[in-house]
Amino acid sequence: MGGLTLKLAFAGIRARRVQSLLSVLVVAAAAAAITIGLAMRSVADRPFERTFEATNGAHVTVESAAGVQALERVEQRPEVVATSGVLPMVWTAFDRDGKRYGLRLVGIGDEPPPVSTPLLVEGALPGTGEVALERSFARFHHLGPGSTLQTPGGLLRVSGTVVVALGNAYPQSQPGVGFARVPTLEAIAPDRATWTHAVALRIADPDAAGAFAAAAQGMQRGRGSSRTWLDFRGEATAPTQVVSVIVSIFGVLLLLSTGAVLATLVGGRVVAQAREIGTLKATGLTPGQVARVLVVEQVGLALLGLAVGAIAGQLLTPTFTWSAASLLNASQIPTFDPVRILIVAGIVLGAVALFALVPALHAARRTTAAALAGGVSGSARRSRLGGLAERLGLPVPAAVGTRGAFARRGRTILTVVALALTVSSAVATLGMEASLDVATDPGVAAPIPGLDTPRFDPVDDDAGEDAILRPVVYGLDALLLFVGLVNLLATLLLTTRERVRDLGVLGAVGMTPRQVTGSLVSEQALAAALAGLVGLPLGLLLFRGAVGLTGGSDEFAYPSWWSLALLVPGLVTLVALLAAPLARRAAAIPVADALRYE
Amino acid sequence: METTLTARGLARTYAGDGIEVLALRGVDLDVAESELVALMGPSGCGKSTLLHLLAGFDRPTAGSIALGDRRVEGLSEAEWAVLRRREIGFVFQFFNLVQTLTVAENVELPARLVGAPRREARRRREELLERLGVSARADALPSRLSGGQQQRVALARALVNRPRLLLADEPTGNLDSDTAREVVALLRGLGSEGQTVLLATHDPRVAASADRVLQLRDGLLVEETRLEGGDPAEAVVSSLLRLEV
Repeated sequence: MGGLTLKLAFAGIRARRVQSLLSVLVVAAAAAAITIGLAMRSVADRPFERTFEATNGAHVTVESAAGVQALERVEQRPEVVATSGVLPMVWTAFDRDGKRYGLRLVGIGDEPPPVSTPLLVEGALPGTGEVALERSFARFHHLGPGSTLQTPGGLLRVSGTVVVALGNAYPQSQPGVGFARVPTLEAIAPDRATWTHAVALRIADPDAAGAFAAAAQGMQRGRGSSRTWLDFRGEATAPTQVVSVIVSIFGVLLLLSTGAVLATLVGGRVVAQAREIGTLKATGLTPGQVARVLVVEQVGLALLGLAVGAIAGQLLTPTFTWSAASLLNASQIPTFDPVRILIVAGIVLGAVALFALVPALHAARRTTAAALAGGVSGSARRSRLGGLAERLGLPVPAAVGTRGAFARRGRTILTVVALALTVSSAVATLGMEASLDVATDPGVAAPIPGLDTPRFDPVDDDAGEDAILRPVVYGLDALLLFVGLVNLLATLLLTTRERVRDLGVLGAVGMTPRQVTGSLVSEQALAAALAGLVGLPLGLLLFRGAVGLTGGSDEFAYPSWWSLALLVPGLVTLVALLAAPLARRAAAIPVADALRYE
Repeated sequence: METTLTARGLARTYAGDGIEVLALRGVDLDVAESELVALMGPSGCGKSTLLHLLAGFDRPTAGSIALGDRRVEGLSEAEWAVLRRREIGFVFQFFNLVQTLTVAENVELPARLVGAPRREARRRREELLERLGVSARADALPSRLSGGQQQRVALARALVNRPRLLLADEPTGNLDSDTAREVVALLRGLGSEGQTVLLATHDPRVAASADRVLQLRDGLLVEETRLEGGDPAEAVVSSLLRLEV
C-alpha cells in the first residue's frame, strides 16, 4: 500500500499544479517566518544572562585609583575562582561634530581577559593605535571598523565593536568604553599617574557578591568603587524589557499567523477534495487509506516548501537578529543552528500533518455517495444571519454573497480565524508602535564635568536606539504583513476556485459577470469584516496579556483609537481589492465551462 | 404562429490537444411560440451543446441565433445574462441549485434580479412551489431535498419570470417515473400560457408528449417527427424507440 499511497499522492500533486505550487509557497513562507520568529525569540530570551554567559561575565568588578597592589589583594581572596587580571584604564575624550565626549579606555594584552571578555561583534580586536568600542557606544555615535577618533592624546582607529555584560548601555552609562592595547594607552596618556585600574572577578558564591563587593571596596582606602553582577543585571534589564517584550510578541504572532496560514490552506485544500475522496473510496480504498493519501500529499508538498523556507529564513535571520541583539545589548545568537532548523521542521510538518489529517479523516468517514454527490457545497448550512442580509435590503449580489459566507460555515470560519490572527497581529503591532516612544526614552546619565553629555533626542529619529528599534519593528511588521498577505491570497484563491461552479449557476440564472463578481467579493469582504471584529479585541487581549506576562504594564501604551477604527474598514477594503480581480476572472469563465468545473 | 427561436448553420467546434471535435455541424432550427419540441439522440450527439449555445452558456463557432426578431449570438456575457433572466429559463439534469440558498431564495433569485419587488417575488415563488408540490420545503436547503424535489425547485426557478423560452436538458433524467410524469405534464401545460419549450431527452415517453421530435446525430439534425395529438401513446413511443436506436 505504501507505493500506491505515494503514487496516488503524487498524482494529486500533479493534477492540481497551481494549488500545489501555492502550498509549497505558503509552507515556504511559513517556514521562513517561523525560522525568523524563533531566532527573534532566542535573541529576546534572557538577553543579559546570555551575554553574561557568552562573555564569562564578572560577579564583581572593582575599580580603583589606589594602585595595582590593592586590586591584587582582592584577587587573592579565597572566594575568587577566576579573574580578568588587573587591567589598566585611561580616561580621555574625543571630539565629534563640534562636541567633546568622554571615553574610557581599558587596557588589554595579546589575549582578551578571561573574565568579562569583550566579545567581538564586528571587525577585529585592537592592535596598537587601535580601539575596539563597546557596541552601544559605537552605534550611538555611528562608529564602526575603520572609523577614527580624535583624542587629546592622538588619533585612534576603530578596529571593531564588542559586547560586554556591564549593565547599562550607552548613553545611560557614561563615558563610552573602548578596549585598547597597553602601548596604545601609553601613547594616549603617557603619565601613568593618571591611570586607574580595574579587575573583574568570578566568585564561588555569586549570591554573596554584595558582601564581597563591599569588602573589596573597603580594601581600596576610599579610592575605589565596586559593582556586582546583580547591579549590572538590574541596569541592563530595565531599559531592554520593552524591547524584549516587543520582539517576543512578534515571535509569538509569527508562529500563530503561520499556523493559521497552514490550517487555512491545508485544511481548505483537503475539504475541497471531497469528490475525489468519494472516488477513491468507490475504487476500494478504506477511509484510513484515503486519509493517508491526502496527508502524504500535503506532507510531500510541505517538505519541498520547508526546504525552500528554511534556506530563505536562514538567509534573512541575521538581518533581524543583528539589530535586535544590538537593541537588547545582548550577544548574537548563532546564525546556523541545527536545533532551530529541526524545531522549524517539526512545527511545520507537524502542523501540516495535523491540519491535513483531521479534515481528511472527517471527509473520509462520510458515505461514498455523499462525498461523490456533495463536493464542497454539500457542507452548506442554513443560516438565520444570512437571511438577515436579505431582509436588510442589500442588493441581490451582495445578499447572495452574504448568504454564501454564512452557509459555508466551515470554510468561512477557517478564513475568519486566519484573517483575525492577521488583524490581531496588526493591533499588537500598533500597540508596540505606540510603545516605541516609551522604549526609546530610557533617561540620561549624570553629566561629566567639562564634557558634553549625549542623550536621546526624541525629535531626531536618526539617533540611538530609535534608529535601530524602528527598522526592527518595521521589518517584523513587514514580515507579519507578508505572512498575512500570503494567507489572504491563498484563502481568496482557494475559495474562488471552490466557487467557480456556483458562480456558473449564478450566471445561468441571469447574474451578469459584474454581479457575480460583486457576489463573491461581498462574501470575502464579509469574512474580512467578521475577522476584523474578532481580531480587534483579540489583538488587544494578546497585547495586554503579553505585556502583563512580562510585568511591564506601565511601560506600554495602547494603540490610538483612530488607528483601531481604521483597521477593520482597511482590511475589508484590502480584501475587496485583492478578491476583485480573482472574482472577475472566475466570473469571466463561460457558464458552460463553469458548470463542468470540478 | 410566431417563431420564438431560430438557429441557422449553428456549429460548435472544440479544440484540445491538437484534435478538433465537431460537436455541432450546422444546425438549422425553428421553434414556434407555445410549441413543445423534444430533442433526441444518443449520448454525445450534441444535444447539451445545442441547448448551451441557445442559452448563451457557450458561444457558437459559426451560425446565428435569433430570439423572436432579435439576433443574439453576438451578445456579451452580461447581455446574455440579462436576456436569460428575462426571457430564457433553463433546467439542468443535475438541478444546479445554489447550494447556499434556501429553496425559496433559489426560486426568488431570478425575480429579484429583474427588479421584482420582494413581495411580488415571494408571491410568484409561493404560487410556483405550491403548483409543483414543494411549498412545504421552502425554507430548506437544496442538499436536504430528494432529486425529484430539487428538479421541481429548479423548474420553479426557471419559470419564475415567465420566460418566453424554456430550455431543459434531460429534465427527467434523475427522476423516478411518477415525478417524471408530473414534470412532463407541467411542461406540456406551459404551451397554453404561450411559453415555448425545447427539451433534450433520452426518454421516448417524455418525447412522446412533445409537438415535434427532432433527432440529432453526430452534430446534425437528421430527422423531424411531428406528433399529432390523436396518435395512440404506445404507438408514438414505439416509433420514437426505433428512432432512438
